[in-house]
Amino acid sequence: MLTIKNLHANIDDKAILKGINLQVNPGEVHAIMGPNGSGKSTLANVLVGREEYQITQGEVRFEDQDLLNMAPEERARAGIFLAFQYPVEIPGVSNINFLKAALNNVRAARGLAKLDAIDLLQQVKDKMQQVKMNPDFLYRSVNEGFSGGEKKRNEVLQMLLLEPKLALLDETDSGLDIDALKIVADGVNALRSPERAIVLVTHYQRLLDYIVPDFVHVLSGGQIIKSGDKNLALELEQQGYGWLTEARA
Amino acid sequence: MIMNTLPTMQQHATPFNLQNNPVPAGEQLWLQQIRQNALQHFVKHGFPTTRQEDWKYTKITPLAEQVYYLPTRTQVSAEQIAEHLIPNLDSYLLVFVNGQYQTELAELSGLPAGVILCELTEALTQQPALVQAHLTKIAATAKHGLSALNTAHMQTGYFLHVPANIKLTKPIQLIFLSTEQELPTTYQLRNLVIADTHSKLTLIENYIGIGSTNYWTNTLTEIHVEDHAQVEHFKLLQESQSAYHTGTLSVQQGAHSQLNSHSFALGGRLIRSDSDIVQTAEYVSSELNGLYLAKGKQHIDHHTSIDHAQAYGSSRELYKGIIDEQGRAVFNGRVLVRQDAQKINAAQTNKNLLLSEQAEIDTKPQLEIYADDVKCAHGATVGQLNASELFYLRSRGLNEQTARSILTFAFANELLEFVNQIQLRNYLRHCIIQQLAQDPTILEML
Repeated sequence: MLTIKNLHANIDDKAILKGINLQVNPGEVHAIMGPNGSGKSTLANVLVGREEYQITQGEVRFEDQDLLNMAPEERARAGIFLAFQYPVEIPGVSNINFLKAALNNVRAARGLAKLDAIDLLQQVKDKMQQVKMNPDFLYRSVNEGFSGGEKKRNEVLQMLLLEPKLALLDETDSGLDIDALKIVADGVNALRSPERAIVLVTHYQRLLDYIVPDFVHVLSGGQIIKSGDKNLALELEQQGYGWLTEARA
Repeated sequence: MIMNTLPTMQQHATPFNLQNNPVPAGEQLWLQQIRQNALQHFVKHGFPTTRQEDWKYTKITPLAEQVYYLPTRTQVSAEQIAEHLIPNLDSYLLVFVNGQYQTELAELSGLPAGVILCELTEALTQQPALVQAHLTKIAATAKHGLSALNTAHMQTGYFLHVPANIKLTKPIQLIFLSTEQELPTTYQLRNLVIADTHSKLTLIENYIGIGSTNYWTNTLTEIHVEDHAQVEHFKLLQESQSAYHTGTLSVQQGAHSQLNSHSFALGGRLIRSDSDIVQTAEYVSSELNGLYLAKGKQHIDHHTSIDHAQAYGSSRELYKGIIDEQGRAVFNGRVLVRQDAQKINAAQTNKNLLLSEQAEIDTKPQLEIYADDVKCAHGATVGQLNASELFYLRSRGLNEQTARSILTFAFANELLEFVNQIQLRNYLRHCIIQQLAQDPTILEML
C-alpha cells in the first residue's frame, strides 16, 4: 500500500530525513518510535504533503501513485489521513460544516453521493459518541478554544468519519490522560481492518498497550535504525533509546 | 436621426454647480441661511486635499474635476425595487431612486402613533420646528468641505422621529438606488434622526448602484440619541464599481444611551466613510463595527472619531478589511478622551487581510487622552491567510481555492456575528460572498 524508498527531506536546508525505507501493507499496524528530533513528525508531515519540507531524494508510492507529486487534497481524497500532533484552530468555521465539507469531498473522490444533512448529522453524532465528545462541539469553530485532549479527540472523530485507507497518527497520545488515551485507542482499533493500514508515530510505549502494533520501527537521526515486532517497544520502554543509538554510533 | 438617439433626459439636465446655491422655492429663511453659510464655507475651503492629514491617503480630485448633473425624475415600479429589498425582512421602508424620493413605494403601515418617518422635505413642511431644532446641530460644517457641500446642496433624504419610550420592533429599511443614467449625476442626501429618551430603533441604510455610470453620492446622516435611547444603525455600501461615495454619520449621544453602528463597505470605486460620535453625557455606550472589501482598483477609507466628553462612557470598535488585487484601504480611528471623561473604557481593533502583492492598507489609531483614569486599548494587524489553516483544510480533502475562500469568508464572518437580525445577516452573507467572487457553495460551510 505504502512504499517509501530512500526518502530524504530538508527543512530550511537542514537535512531531517536521511534515507527512510519502509513498506506498509493493508491490514498492518506500524509504530514509529524514536527520540525527540529523530524525524518522526517530519516523516508523517512529508507523507501528507506539508509544503515547508523539501524532498531532496527518494520515492514514495501509495497504491499505484507517485505520492510526492500529489497535492495535499489529492492525498486526502486518495485515502491518506494524518491526525495532527498540533491540530489547527480555525476561527469562524464551524466544526460541523468543516466535517461536512471534508466528508463530502472525500466521498465524491470515491464516487459516492453527498450525504444529506440529516444522514450526515446522524453519522457525525454516532462517531462523536464513540470518542465521547459532546455534540456542542459541532457548533463551535474548528478546534477553537478546545483543550489539548478535545483537539485530539476531534482528530480521531475526523479519522473515523473519513475512513482513510492509510491513517497516520502523529503523537496523538501526547498530553492525554489515561481515559482519553483509551478513547483514542478504541477509535483507532475500531478502524482496524484487513483493507486498512495504520501508522502510529509515538514517543512512548504506553499507547501500544492499547493499540498493539504488528511492527515497531525506531527512527533516529533521520533513518530507521531498527525494526521489530511489538516486543521491541517493550525493550525500548525498559532500556530507553540509548543502547540503540550508541551501538550505532 | 441623431435627435432620436439623444436621451430626453440630457435635454433637461442641469449641471451641478458647486458654487451656486439652488434654494428650492419657498424654503424657510433659517434653512436658506444655513445653506448660505455652508456654501460660503465650501467656497472658501473647497474640496479636501491630500495635504490635509485626514485626507492624506484619499485623493478626491476626480470629484472636483468631473462635471456632475442634478438628479432627474426617475420612476420605478414596486417590482423593480423588490429585487433590492432584503429578502423576508419585515420592515418599514422608504425608497429613493436616483436621488428622488418614491412616495408610492413607502411601506409605513403599522408604524406606532407619534412616530414620524418621511422624506426630509416633507418634515420641513409638517414639522418645521422639530427639524429646525435638530438639523445641522451635530454635523460640524467646518469638519470638511464635503459636509459643508452637503448642507449647502442637500436635496432629499429621510427624516425619523421616534418619541420618548417608543420601541420600534421592526427595523427601518432605507433604499438608495442608483440606476443606469446617461450623465454623471450627484446625489446630495441628508438624513435626520431623532431618537427621544428611552426609545429604540434600527436603521438599515442600503446604498445600491446598478449599471456603470459615474455618479457621486454625498450623504450626511445626523442622529440624535437622547438619554437612555438605543439606536442600531447599518450602512450598506453596494455602490456601482464606477461610483464615488462620500458619507458621514454624525451622532450625538445622551446619558445612558447606546449606539451600535455597522458599516459594510462592499461596492464603489471610491468610498470615504466618516463616523463621528460624540458622547455628551455620562454612561454612554458606543459600538462601531465595520467590514470593507476592496479589490480591483477600489479605494475604501474609513475615518472614525469617538469623542468621550463625559465620564463613565465606553466605546468598542472592530473594523476588518479584506483587500485584494490593486485595492487600497484606509482606516483611521480617533479616540478623544477629554479631561472630564474619567473612567472611560475604550477599545479599538483594526484587522486587515491582504490577498495580493499590490493590495495596500494604511491604518492608524489616533488616541488623544486628557483624563488620567481611563482604559484605552488599540491594536492593528495586517496579514495574509494563515498557511497552517490552509494546509489543515487541504489535508482533509478541500481544494486550495475552496480552502482560501472559506478562510477569507471566515475572516469577514466575525462582523456578521454582531448582526442579530437573521434575515439581514443572511442577506449580508450573500452580498459578501458575491463581492468576494467566491464559490457560493462555501456558504454551506459557514
